[in-house]
Amino acid sequence: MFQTIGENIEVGGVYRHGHFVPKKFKWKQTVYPIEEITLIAEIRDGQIKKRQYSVLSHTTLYRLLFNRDTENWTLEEIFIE
Amino acid sequence: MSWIKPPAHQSRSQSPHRILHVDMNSYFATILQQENPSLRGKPIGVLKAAGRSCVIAASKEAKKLGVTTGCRVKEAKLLAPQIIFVPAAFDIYLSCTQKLKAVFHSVCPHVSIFSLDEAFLDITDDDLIYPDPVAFARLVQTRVKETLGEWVTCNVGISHNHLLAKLASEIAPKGTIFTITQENKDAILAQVPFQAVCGIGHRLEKKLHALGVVNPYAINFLDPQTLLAHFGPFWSTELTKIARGEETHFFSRTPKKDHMQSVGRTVTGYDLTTDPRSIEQTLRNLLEEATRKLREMDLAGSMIAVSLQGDTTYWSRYKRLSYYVRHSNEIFSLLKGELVTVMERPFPVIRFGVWIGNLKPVRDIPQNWLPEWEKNERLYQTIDAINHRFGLFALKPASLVGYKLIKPEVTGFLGDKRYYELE
Repeated sequence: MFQTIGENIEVGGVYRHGHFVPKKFKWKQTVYPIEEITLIAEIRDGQIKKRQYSVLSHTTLYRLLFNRDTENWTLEEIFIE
Repeated sequence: MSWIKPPAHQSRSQSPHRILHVDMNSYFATILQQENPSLRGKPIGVLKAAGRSCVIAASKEAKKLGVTTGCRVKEAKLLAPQIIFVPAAFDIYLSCTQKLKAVFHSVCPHVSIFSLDEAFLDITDDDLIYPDPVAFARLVQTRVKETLGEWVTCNVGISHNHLLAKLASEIAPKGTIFTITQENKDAILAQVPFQAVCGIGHRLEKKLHALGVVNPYAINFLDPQTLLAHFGPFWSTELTKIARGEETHFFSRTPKKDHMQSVGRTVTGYDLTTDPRSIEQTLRNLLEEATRKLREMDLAGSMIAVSLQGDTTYWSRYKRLSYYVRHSNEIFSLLKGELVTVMERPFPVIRFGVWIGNLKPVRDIPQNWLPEWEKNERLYQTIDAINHRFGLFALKPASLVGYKLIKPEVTGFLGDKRYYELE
């Protein structure tokens, strides 16, 4: 099941062919390397566009949300078996 | 460089139509398995939300164990004790369908999104680019995988009309391509169950079985008088077309208007409730969502409806107005008037619905000059602007303060595809 977190995080990444590719994120003073991006979804909340990256770090799935309006990153959810 | 192409009408008259139906395999579950590799290869039951008791979609692995859409959680656990239940992610499904639409348009100009996980691609006029429909279908399957991920597969049905193309994808094994031609269509129609044919529902199937008709082809053996007597003028003609594998009215109809005809929203609660406040809040929440869509599309409606459903009781009312409405406070006060009758003798309710119909673009309706209406219009324009800027329900009616809001979600059959610009 997904555990809701909703906390701000810092994300580092690279630009590849004009697209940002997240490579690691920092949550609660811990850096999590991103091993795989399994899905990217474009989400709208009113007129606010958000991009959700589902990423794997140490085989755990994290949903990272990028607010394209405020350019803020949040860790939305973690999948816990 | 320019493409030289024969005029559309010329090529259509010379060669049969070439329609492809793309059907995503176990879409809701597969997308979640794509997102989460730890779920891949395992039986998954998708629930509308955590704590719900009905499986709205099952993965390929769960289907093999007998779990189907509509199964109760208890029942699914008995069929597949190792099943994992995960909540649906409607935002992700909608985003994936929007990506699919872009993929289809990148390879074919005539695309029709049929539902959240189905689309028709018409390559009749593209024979110079795609001489082989099977090779084109393979290209589509590859592009789908490249876009959504390696775990996502789709069936592609190919035929000369929409009915048979959809039937072909329905009966094809997962992730494969199947073609129905003039030569094999009768044999296929004589083998498939009625559920595989788009347009034949459970009740129609029951009626046909009662007449001794066990497959679509066998409808040909009923004489026209019997068909007419049992199914009426419309369905007797439709069933005859299905038996012959011809395009039915459902697929050949063209949308009459360039805007949505109605907007509605229903929701099933977690528990039965008789609390009038809770019922009113839920209806108001649904109405806020529906009217926001109306205003975003610049429409107004002159028919409104409300429905409540319990375990055994169903209650609904609709009202035809002599004027057009699009503000939730006005519609809600009208619906509340209707609700009075049911509130006198309340029954436990679990399913709620609101609906606004007979929609027209605001530019086509007589302008309302009443100061009250103008005030409301200005108010809602401001509310909509704030909610657009700060997110949905940033501003909401005071009656919804402290209430656990129901957020918008897309439905599988994609009734509001015009709103989501998927048409």
